[in-house]
Amino acid sequence: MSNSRLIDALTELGADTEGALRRFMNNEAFYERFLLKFMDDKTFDAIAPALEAGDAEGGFMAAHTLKGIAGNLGFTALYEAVCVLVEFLRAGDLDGARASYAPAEAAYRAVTALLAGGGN
Amino acid sequence: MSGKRNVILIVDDMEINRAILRGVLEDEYHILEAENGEQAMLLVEQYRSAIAVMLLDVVMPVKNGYEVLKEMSARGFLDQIPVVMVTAEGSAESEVRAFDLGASDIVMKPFEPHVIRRRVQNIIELNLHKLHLEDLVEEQAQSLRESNEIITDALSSVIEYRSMESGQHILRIRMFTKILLHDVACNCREYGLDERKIESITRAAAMHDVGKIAIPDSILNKPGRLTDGEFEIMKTHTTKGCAMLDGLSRLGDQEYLRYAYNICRYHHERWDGRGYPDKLKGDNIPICAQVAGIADCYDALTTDRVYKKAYSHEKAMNMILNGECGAFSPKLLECLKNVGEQFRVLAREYADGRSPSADFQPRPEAEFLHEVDTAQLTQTKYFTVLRYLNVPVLEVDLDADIYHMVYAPNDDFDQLRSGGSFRQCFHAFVQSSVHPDDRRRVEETMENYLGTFFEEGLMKRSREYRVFRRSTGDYHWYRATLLRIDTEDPHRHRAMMIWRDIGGELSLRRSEDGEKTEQGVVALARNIPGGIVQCRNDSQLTMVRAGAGLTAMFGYNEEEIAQRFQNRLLAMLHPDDRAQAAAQVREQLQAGNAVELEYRVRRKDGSTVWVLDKGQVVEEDGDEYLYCVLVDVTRDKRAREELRLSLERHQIIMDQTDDIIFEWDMLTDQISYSQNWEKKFGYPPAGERSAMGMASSSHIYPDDRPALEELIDKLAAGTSYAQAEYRIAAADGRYLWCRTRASAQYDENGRPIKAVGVILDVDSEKSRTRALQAKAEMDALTGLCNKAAMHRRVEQYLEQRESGEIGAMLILDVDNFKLINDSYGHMFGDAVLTQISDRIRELFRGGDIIGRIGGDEFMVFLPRLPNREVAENRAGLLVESFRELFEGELDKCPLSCSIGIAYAPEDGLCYQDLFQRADRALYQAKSQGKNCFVAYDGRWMDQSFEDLAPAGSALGARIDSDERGATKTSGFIQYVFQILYRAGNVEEAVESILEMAGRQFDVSRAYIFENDGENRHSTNTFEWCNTGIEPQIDKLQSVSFEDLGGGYMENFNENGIFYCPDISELPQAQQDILVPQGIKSMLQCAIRDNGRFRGWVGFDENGENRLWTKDQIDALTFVAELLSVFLLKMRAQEKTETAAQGLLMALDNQNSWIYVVDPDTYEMLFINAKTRAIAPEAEVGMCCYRAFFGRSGPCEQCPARNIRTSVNRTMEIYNRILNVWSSADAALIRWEGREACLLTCHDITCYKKSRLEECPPGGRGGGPRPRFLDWAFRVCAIRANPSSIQKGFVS
Repeated sequence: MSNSRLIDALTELGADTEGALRRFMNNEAFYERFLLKFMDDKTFDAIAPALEAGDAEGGFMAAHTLKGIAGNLGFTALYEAVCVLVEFLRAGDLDGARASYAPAEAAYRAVTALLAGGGN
Repeated sequence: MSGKRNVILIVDDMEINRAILRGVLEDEYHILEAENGEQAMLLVEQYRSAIAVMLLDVVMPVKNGYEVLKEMSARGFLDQIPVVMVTAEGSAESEVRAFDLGASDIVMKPFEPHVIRRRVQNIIELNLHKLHLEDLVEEQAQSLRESNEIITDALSSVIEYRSMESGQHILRIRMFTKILLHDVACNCREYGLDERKIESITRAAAMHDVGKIAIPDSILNKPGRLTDGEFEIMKTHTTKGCAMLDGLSRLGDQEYLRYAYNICRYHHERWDGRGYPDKLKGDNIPICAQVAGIADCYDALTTDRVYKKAYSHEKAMNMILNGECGAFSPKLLECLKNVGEQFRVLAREYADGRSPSADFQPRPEAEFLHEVDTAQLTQTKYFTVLRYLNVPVLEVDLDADIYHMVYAPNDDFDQLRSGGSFRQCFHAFVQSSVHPDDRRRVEETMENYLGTFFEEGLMKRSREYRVFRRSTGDYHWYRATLLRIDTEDPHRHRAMMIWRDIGGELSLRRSEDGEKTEQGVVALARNIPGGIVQCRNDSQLTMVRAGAGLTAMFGYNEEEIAQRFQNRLLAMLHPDDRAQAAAQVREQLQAGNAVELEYRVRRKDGSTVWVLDKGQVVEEDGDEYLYCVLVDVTRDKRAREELRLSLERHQIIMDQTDDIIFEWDMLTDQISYSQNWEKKFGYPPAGERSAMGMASSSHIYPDDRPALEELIDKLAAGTSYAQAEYRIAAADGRYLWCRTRASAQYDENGRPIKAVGVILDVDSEKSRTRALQAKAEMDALTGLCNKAAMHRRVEQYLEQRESGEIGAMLILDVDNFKLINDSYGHMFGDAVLTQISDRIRELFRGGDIIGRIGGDEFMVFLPRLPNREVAENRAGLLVESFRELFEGELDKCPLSCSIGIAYAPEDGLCYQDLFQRADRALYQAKSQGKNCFVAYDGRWMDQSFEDLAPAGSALGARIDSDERGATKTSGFIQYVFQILYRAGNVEEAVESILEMAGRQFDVSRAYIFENDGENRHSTNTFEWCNTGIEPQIDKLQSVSFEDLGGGYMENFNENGIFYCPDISELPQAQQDILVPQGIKSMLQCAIRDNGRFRGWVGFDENGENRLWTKDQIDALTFVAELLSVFLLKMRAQEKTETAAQGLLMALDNQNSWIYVVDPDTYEMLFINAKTRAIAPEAEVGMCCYRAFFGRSGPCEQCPARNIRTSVNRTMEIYNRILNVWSSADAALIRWEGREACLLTCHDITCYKKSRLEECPPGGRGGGPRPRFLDWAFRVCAIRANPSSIQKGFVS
């Protein structure tokens, strides 16, 4: 049970907040700051257009970056979903990538909604 | 050696990643950040000696991590800077790839911060170690080389000794070789010689005659010529030497051995292939052997040998140069000529029998090398030209009398090789090869010819004569041209002679054309304004012809020029310009045949004109002439001078200011900076040279780049002035805040084309401002915002609140805080407040604004809420957690709080409104019983608020101390005082007081410490222990304050109280003494005497960390003060008594009778031991006359009589009763606070014995009056004491 509603809510959602907090030197304010910043992050939005345009390279870069951020912030579900996406894109398999886009999107929306809600 | 490497470079395009890494590492290192590969490389170049490690992300735009790694490796940075790849890639290929490219380690994202820190530290340490080791290894190698050298030299010297040559030969060979090699290295690059190889070859040269060991003595030391057979044997010293060297291949240094081998084998080979042993030709002979061969040859010629005497330097040089002693490469011979002088000096200095020093280093080589370098002989070109010309060329150095036939296409000029001096051989040549008719002309003017050539500073002179050509059998015309070389130095006389075959041409050519041309030129010259001059190309530029314009320019007419200046142009120049003009002429003519000069000339009327002189060289009659045009450029020169000054002014201003001035040319996108950039930041502004460049890679802190970009955009758009603040990395890796201000400049159309600005260092200003700001906003006790800051921040948020966002203001008041303060004291209250604020901080987010707005009032503002429930949940949590705080410790007054909440926008849009409403809600909460929260409800709270107006606010109530006071405590204190006051035994009283206090407050121990006189040690003098507590008094005797860390007294505050709820917060030294006693907390009060710290009274608590209450502190303070009074008094008394005792003992042990009497009544106030012994009945209070003399009244002759008025008297007195003589002294003293008389009687009985027999003892009252000195006092009846009578003399 932490002191931040937001972090608690994330933990309930299944995020690895403990691991993430360790990375942020156990400073909750520090962690929260970046959590809130994630709402403004545009990396995810770059994936769909790239898939549509058939740009495996660009899609890979965006997905890979997103994977890193999600990992750092402890968004386990999102991380795993994006990992799948990344592997398809790395191999240049656009069809597979498109197919695995939906679960990644779902996880992403879940996280951003929770963040916007401020932990409720 | 590297300097301090304490900077870590983090390269990653995502800010979050950089921030995390920075957080982990910034405690111990400086951090530099780069957003992309280019910026990273820029920073690496900049800070390469300060960076300890680079943390490199893989996936980055433009240049990814692998490319950066490749570049680092290619540019050799990886040797100094290890790279750790940080990547989210999990695959094995990427790992392999990273390591292949040279990474030192790989870390996977997401990572464990502690792991990263350890790995980074390890890598840094390893790298430092490696660099250090490299340095060590280099040192070792160096000393190894040196020892090798010494050994080989020793070996060679041994060999030399055997062949009857002195050891100096080896030394000289080495030096000649070295010098010659240096020259060859400079001038014949094709041999690829460098410093290291030269060193190696020089050392190897020592071994060149190693093979002579195998040659029998009879041959080696034969004084005469060798027979052919003997010579053959001698020749084998080359091959035999090689065989020996082969066997030494174990020596290890292969290069050295190779050189030694080659030198040994081939140093007798000849350039023309007729040498031995292998008959190698030309450059097949290794250069090392060629050079060693020349050195050996030179040395052999210039020293005595068994078969010949030493030749002179000049003869040796000439012999070598002209092929009389071996055949050498022409290139090497050129080099030899260059260093010939050095050879001569060395040969003399290191001649056999002389040895300047024991070490093998020749003296300052620097001098020699310098001279060689400036010789600038471009050999290859020279020889190419010679080949092309294919004519005989002779070089002569008249100073050294050395000549050299450099090139001869045929043997017609062979006589010029005949050796001896130049004059001799030239003479021989003339006599044998020049046409008889021409001989005299050539010969007799030779001296003249050469002499004037040099004296007059001529460069070129030609003559024509016929020379015999063997191939055709007749004489041919040649033009012999003398050309001067080395023109810079007037004292050197070196020249070349070149003979050109001119076939049937006649030397004299004066055609009609020539005359006509000449006339035309003269006419031209006369009519051109400005000056026209024809002068000879000699050292003075002698004018042959001058136009009339010269007169106009300088004011002198022809006659005057001839008379005053001897027609010398150079003489007409301003003295300061002459040397430079002459030099420029020489320089420019080397490159071509045109000149352009500027110089000053002083006119006849005294004024100065600047002249531009443009001319060209023309050859006439075998001599060179300059045809020049002179133009007056005085005005132009002045204008240029002013411009120069103006620019200089600007430069000075730029340099003097500390700020960095820059100029941005928008059209070319070039930015230039003043030198201050480098001064301030420590590196030249490379990445900052263009606006575009700054956008991608520069030393700017990535987060601040938007500010800079905005500035650039503003200026480019046409704003006339703009400023921005951002951070720039300095040389040591820290970021400095800078403020840039710039103004734009416009072209005729109003478009911005330039911007000029200033960069100021505002770093210290900013951090100071920041610190002050923070301080001003903070509440000192809790570290939360203070009221003003709270107000400001809330207003700020409210202004930019977005619709749909809810803000909540919570006002929190601690219930019954007064009570806590009163029960437990203010110190306790402060501690409680601090804990409360920590708790509040924990419960809210980073974006929430938390402050302390009153004594026990807090406010929390929550911005950007989606709904009210969030706020109310938080409030509920807060109220609950209060109950948990201090659970168990405050059972008398449990802690709780009340909270009032108001929302924006419903309850108000400004701070004041919200505040009022939240306050109202708080009041409601209090009325409802406290320990709860209430949200404002406008429907009914507004009305009741007005009704309750005066008492409606819960805030602002003062937290007063109740006047109840410590009734309990005062009773206790009175009791204590009475005990002490009435105490017979102060010590017992103190003990019982300690016990009482200890029981009253239920402490583990109560005790007193008293300091020694100098306050250096303290001793535990009294101690009371509660049941089950171990006494410590024995262990705490004379504890030194130093052992306690010296600052023990600082623990006591201004009231003399040392309040310690937890000893773990004390310094280690003090804990070491306290912890073994089982103490957890302490309360102590100082004992003072006249303001000086003399010790303390204290309580110990062993069970727990205890918060001492005000009550206890007050009680303790009083007890301490009381105790101090009584204790100090007791101690003082003890001291006095001891002192008195001492004095008494002193008096008692005197060997005199000493007593003190009242000066009026003669009552005794003090009797010392000896007096008591002789008069045991004497007592204090008795009169002395009665006690000692048995009289009823004072004796007439008494030293004490009138003691007040008379002077101190000494008398001799006989005491009949005691039967003693004494010498009595009386003195007026103060005794016990009053006047008294001290009588001291020294026993002189033994001295008086004889006298006594003479003097009859008188009876009572009358009788004959004895003499003054023998006056005996009548003895009055004394109390019968047989023992005293027994003394004998009483009648």
